[in-house]
Amino acid sequence: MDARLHLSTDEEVLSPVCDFTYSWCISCGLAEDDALRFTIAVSELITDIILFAYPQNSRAFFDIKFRHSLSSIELIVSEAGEPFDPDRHRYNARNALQYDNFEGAGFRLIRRFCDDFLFINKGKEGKEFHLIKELNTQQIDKLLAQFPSLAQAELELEDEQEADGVIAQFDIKKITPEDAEDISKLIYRTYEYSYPKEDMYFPKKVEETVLGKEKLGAIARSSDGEAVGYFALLKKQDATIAEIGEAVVSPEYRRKGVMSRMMKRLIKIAGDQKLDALFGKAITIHPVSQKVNHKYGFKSTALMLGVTNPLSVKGFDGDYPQPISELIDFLPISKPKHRTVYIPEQYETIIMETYEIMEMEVTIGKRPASVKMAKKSNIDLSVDSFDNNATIVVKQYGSDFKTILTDMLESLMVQEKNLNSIYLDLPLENSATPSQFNELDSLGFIYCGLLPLFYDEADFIRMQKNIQPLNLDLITVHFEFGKKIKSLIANEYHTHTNEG
Amino acid sequence: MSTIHTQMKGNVLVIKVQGAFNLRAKNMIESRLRPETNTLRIDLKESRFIDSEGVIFLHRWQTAGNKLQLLHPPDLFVEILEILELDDRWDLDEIIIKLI
Repeated sequence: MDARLHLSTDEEVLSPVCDFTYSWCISCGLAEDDALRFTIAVSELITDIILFAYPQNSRAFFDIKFRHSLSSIELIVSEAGEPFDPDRHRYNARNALQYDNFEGAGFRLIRRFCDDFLFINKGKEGKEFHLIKELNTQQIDKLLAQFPSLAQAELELEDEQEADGVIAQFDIKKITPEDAEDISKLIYRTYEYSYPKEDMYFPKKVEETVLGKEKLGAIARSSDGEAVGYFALLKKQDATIAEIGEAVVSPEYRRKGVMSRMMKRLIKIAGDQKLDALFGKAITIHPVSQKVNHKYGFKSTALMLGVTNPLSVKGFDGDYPQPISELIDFLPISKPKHRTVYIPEQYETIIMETYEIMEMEVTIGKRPASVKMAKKSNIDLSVDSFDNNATIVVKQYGSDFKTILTDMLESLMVQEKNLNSIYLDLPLENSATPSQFNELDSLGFIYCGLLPLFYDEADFIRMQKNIQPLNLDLITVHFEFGKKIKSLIANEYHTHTNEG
Repeated sequence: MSTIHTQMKGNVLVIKVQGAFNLRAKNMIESRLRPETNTLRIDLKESRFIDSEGVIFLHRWQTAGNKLQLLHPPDLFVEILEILELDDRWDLDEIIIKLI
């Protein structure tokens, strides 16, 4: 469950917000002690805003966004009060004991009680504070724990290679809340406790996501009713598309076409649900998961360099030596309405080719002589502290967009020392987009790809700034169009690296 | 919601905090102090959260030469004292009243 609160700077809001935060933490799967600590961190931050952000205004307002993923929870507090930088208000115990100066005490507790605390200065748009807590996952099998998609992709391929001619002794159905317990059991029987999405071990949580329609999917059952396969569609909250994932087939039912039939069922479910497209992520350590996606008609539209941390991978002596990169593969389900897009000149060819292979019809809009900027920028930042990457989504450009973006990047680079990459998503249906690109180049952004229908049913261009050094020769892209995207990205990457 | 119940017994203000011991609770306690109050006896049995506003208020109360008695402080109370490096100045054996 995600939520938003719009609150007045009144101390009476403190306790209700803390009560809600605590319950939300528990509901997201945080242990009680951690939920208490996180709630105290929130209490500290809100107290500081109430006391200090608006000294001239006793009744101002601020916002809190609660969002969670399967690996972490994040609370984002936004306010537009006095300029402030928490790094300039560090707690000093000596000052507290000798001079009764407790400045910065709250921020010390916040830093101790969260796994990550990030302060983003958005200039005239105000400030954002991100409080992040990771949800513990079981650490058993390193490879499986961090790369179920790799293991799963292998079995998927085996599944498909030997599926022909096998008599199917199973039935595929759309999942319902009643399947939750069987899905959890299937995950356990297949992976024991090595599956990284801990939610999957809690039937109640699986049930909630199915009931809430966040998750659709297919379940395969043997002739005696036992669950033998499961494959999910994870609906994207702010779009009419869904990600395929959480694929599992019981070992004794592999190579019998289970995965193939589940995928076909997912595509049918997506059509029934009037979803516009599906997308999947394929790792580029080797081509297996790319082949699986391709087999079902998915087309590569973007190559995200350095998405997740390096780790031990089968086939390499020692650790895979760099952050893992991923292709984004898309499968349009319905024919999207014709749209007008504003593409930066240097990416016109690759983006139009991407639209073409997906059979999406677009017209390139005429670039306006002068661009009208909105009064206020609408920019969203999310930090994935588990995989060490950040994504900035621009929905609207304000006149101070460049300043805000620069400030956000500076904040990220200073505070998030281990970041692999920063992704920047820009709206292609906004005529102001092409005029931003000179600035983006100087900020170190290079091409990543096209994200069709990704937010609010609109298309976005994704740019990327890769912080950790990468050897692009170690990134395996199997199909022609993916290779073309990689080639363009490699040129830009090497140009930037050499300049640097 | 933070609420407090108070009762004056001579120079002692007896307080029961329900909910969070935060800025709101601190301000409510301060509003009930009288010039003659020199001891706070605070029952935190029904208080799950305490934050730095609560801890710093109690620290200042003692530093000003007053007496403090706490009943059932939450586990995180001592942890917060340690994080703020105030624990050396607190005689917890004296302050925390253990009911038999």
